[in-house]
Amino acid sequence: MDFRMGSYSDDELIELMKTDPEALDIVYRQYRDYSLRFLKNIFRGINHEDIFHDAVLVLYENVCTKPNFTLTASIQTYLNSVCRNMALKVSTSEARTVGFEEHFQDDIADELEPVEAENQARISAIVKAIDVIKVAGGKCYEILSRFYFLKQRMEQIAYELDYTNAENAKQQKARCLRRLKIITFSRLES
Amino acid sequence: MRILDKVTLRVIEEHLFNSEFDDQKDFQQRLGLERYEALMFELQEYAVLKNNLNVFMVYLSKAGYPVKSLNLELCLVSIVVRLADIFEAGFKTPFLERLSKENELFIQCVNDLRKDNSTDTKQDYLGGIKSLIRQSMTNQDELSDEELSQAFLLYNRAYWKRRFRSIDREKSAETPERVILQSYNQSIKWREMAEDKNTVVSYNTKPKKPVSISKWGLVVIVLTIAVVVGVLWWWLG
Repeated sequence: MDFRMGSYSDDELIELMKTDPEALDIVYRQYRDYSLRFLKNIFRGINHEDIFHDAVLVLYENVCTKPNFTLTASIQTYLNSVCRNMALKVSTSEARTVGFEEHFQDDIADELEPVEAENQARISAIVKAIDVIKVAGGKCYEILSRFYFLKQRMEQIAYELDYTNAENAKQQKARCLRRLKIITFSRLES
Repeated sequence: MRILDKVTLRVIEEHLFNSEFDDQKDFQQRLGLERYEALMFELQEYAVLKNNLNVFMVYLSKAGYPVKSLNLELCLVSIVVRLADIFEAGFKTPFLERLSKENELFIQCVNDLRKDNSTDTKQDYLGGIKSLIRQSMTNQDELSDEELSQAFLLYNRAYWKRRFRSIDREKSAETPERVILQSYNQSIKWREMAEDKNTVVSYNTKPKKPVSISKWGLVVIVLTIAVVVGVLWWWLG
């Protein structure tokens, strides 16, 4: 049964996600309705949308930040499996496993990894500074996000963002980092 | 906290500031197993500081010490020990002066320690230094890679959750007409994205062309209706 709503194959979407964060918008729209139907049929009394948000982020973070991550099922099956695990954790009522059995896998145990920051004030100041830099435009957000979140190498960043070489991208990254620090510490002091 | 003995201090000094040894093994042999283990035990007291050791590396390198080749634990000890000796010597070495310039809080803490006569023993020095280091941590001017990675991860999650909620609202307000229009617009957007990325994309559904009536088409329809009405009127009348 083909339950995909969109126009991309799973492999195409996985590749797109690695290079273009906006692909996550497509993933969300493409798999949302079926996963929500799946969740609503099995679990009651939970926020289905919140669960699905986290499941999509689990997929995204795994695809983008874990080089060895490979999908052993279709994206829809993977998302359903993650949704099911998360829903089981938060569900207060007993789960009814009626229907949909063929569209999730029991052995997928991925979940959203918690961030345990030692210094919350500093982290939240950095998060706000990131927002300032993103809203301001330019390439700073892209460079820093690719380096610190997607863990891309400077060569790849230079190629993706049209810098002539990795050294130039590195210099720009240093300038952006200085800017981020200034904004962060000005927020910490205020 | 245990107190570092004189021999250990001297060996560490030689190791750190005279670059006499090439690696940690040499250092261990020179120190002897017992002293080395005692030192490592001492280091556990500073475990909480190890996470922020990059800051100390910056301090040390700014002060002109060759720190790159040294392992992190020894660098930490180097600062503690060096500062302890500096305090003992009366706070007058160039190292502390240069270090102080980097951080006003540090100066304040050092001055506080100077005024405090109870800091005569090595143990007090080390305790005071530990406190100094902790305080300097809260005022550090560097963001660690780990902090930045965590912040970007959290920012990314918050950003996408906002986007997802916006899509949810959009979906819940959908009418059949809007679904068709969105599907058409999205097909165009994806096609443009695919062309930009040189990606081969297969479409399950072709975008529907919007229906439009030209001005002349409208004239023909109006004339036809007028003729039909005229003929009916003539035939019935």
